[in-house]
Amino acid sequence: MSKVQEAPLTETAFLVLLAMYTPNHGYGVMQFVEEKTNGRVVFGPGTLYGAINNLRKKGWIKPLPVEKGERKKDYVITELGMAQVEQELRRLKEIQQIAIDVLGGEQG
Amino acid sequence: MRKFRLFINPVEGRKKWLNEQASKGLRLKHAGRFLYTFEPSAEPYEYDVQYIGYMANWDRKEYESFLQQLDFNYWTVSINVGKFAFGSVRLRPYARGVGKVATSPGMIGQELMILEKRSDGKPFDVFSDEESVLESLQERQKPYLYTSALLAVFLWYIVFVLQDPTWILILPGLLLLYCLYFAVLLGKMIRKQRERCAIHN
Repeated sequence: MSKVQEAPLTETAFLVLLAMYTPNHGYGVMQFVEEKTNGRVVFGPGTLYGAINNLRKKGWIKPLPVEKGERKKDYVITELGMAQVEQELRRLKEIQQIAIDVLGGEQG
Repeated sequence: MRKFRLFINPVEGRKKWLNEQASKGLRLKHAGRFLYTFEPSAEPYEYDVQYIGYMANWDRKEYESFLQQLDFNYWTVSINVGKFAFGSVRLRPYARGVGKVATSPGMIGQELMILEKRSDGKPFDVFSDEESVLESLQERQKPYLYTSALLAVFLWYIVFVLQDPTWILILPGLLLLYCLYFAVLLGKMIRKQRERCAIHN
């Protein structure tokens, strides 16, 4: 649980982690992702619920204490989660660079 | 208006039928095991059906509260497959964690969930990425595999060990064929989905 994993993150996990750099709840994550991807990614409720549970079990996000009368559960990314995001960003940059190198002048 | 409906395919069949009703301008008001109540609606709605039988009681409750936060309407309905009953306690060896023992009320009769979304021009799917689609298919296959194995052992024991075949065995026999059919069908869907996952994530 304390290790930064080498395997690439899924797009879903990556986006959920990014949405939780500020405390956020399920509905907020859905809106964040839909807005940032201009509607390309719309999470289904089953997918988002599963992703939040998995990330919580891994300790990459953590629930914030629920205030009385508040029904929305907020989560925030942990240090470990941030380390995963940074590693994923390095991986994506490397792949992007390979693609740019290969495509070369064909890049519009 | 009330409609009676039996589904051979409990998930895809139900989803297709509900969306057909929705396209006629009907909105679901109540869902029972066989009986559905609709009312006319000016707003268009869409439906999806999710298998939740593998969830433990606390997990299902948490999922319901999650759906309430997202303002989804949902109904839980029953299918009868893969349940091994001792009075009010049923075993589901294929479920996760404490979900393996289902106790009434709560877990029994709540194997499927119907979810409703107001149409926004995009298709409504409970699972929106390739991995979660794969995982849901795998969860759905387990009770069929389990029930098939149980029925096969039961039939084998009566026919070959006790050597006492009777006509009444045609019923568990048919149930075995039904479960095998879905185990194979879901197996095919899982294989296809694995190929998709190998390319897209």
